Amino acid sequence: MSNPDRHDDPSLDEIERLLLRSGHDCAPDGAKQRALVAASTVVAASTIATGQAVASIGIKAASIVSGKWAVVLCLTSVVAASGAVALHQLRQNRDTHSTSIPESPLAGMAGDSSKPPIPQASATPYPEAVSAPMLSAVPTLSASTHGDPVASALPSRSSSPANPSFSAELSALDRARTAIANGEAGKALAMLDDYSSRFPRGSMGPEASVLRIEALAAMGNHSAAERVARAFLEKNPASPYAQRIKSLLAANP
Amino acid sequence: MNEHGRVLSVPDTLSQTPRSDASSTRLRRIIDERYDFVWRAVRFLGVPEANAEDAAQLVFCVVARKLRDIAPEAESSFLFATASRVASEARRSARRGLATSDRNVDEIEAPLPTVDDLLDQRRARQTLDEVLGAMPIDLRSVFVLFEIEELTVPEIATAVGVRVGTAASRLRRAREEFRAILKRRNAAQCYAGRGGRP
Repeated sequence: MSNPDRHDDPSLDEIERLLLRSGHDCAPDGAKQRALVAASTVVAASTIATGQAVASIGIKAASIVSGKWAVVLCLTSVVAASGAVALHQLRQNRDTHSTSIPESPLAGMAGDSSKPPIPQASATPYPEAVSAPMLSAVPTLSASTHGDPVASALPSRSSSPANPSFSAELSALDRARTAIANGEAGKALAMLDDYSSRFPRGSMGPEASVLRIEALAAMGNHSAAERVARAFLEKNPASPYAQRIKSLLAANP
Repeated sequence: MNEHGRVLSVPDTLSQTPRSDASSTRLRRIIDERYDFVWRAVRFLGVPEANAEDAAQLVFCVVARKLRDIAPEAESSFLFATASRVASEARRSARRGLATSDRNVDEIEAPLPTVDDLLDQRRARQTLDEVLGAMPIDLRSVFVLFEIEELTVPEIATAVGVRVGTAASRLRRAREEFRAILKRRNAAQCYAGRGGRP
């Protein structure tokens, strides 16, 4: 700050320097990885949306979609495999030496049924660049300390390895995904059942639901796929997966 | 940026869709390089820290959706423009709702913390938020892009979508405004006798 008009009060120069320096802070550990997972989900979905006339080809689209959703899970797996341990350590570091950063109120929220209802997208006029499902999460971007619907839409922060079962969850879902990819949808369903019983409050619940819908559709059990899809949408209207699931539902009224 | 050797290898399932492959690579690069920038941007633009991660994630979800429409040279301006819209929506929602995180105008003229107090990063950051929060959003934007993100004036003009002359003029006013707020608050500090300087 060499601006001449800043020397009227040297203490102000110092204060200004300290304030501006404080502005260079960085996002919390793991935030970038979570954004990557969330955004990858969207890019996978939007590729399909623009590349395929999903609505016109019906539930068969599930087989196409499944590949992309699998990618999401794949990405998640890779992120987790490479980052889970590091993330865990980083988080612990953060918790121990940086008490100034409060723990997110969202931590551990996966499966939390006490979440407030999510406002409707219609309440948020917005440029078309942002999709309704995502937008619907925005209205609660306020100083809420008791939960945030955005959490339900995005990779859960409970995936922080404060939950040591995270990698186990991921590999369980990865096996189910592989089974679907190999045409063994029945086997995948059994694996997903196993997942649900092992991790009743797991942090990958939405991904498991998506796989379940996919497996049911692959088996030709469209009514069950639809039932699970509707239940999912009711519970997670702001999920990044919601739009894809809605497309599938729309294709199979 | 070369993506080879990155831990996040492209899954096999993507190999059949080159466009998707390239999109994923590009998306990863953008997030990797620009995440903190976006995270800070939404905070500077009025999103409380507790919600900054969610807001930043929304920004990148928009980026993911619009990836093919974003020219490589326009990434920064797209990111900032999207961050502005997300933050603006968040501020509107906060006003509609019960939150008052960005309505602390009445507190702005509270005494400024002392230099010693500001050595505490947390305290300094909070004070910075307060001071920035008292500035009009258009001035605040150019101010943080220049003083903190260290963009050049032409880059700022692109990022906020105004002419270079406008950006320069806003920057000048923004710096004056920032300084004026500090002066007033410092005077309050001296008046309050909280270790203020003469």
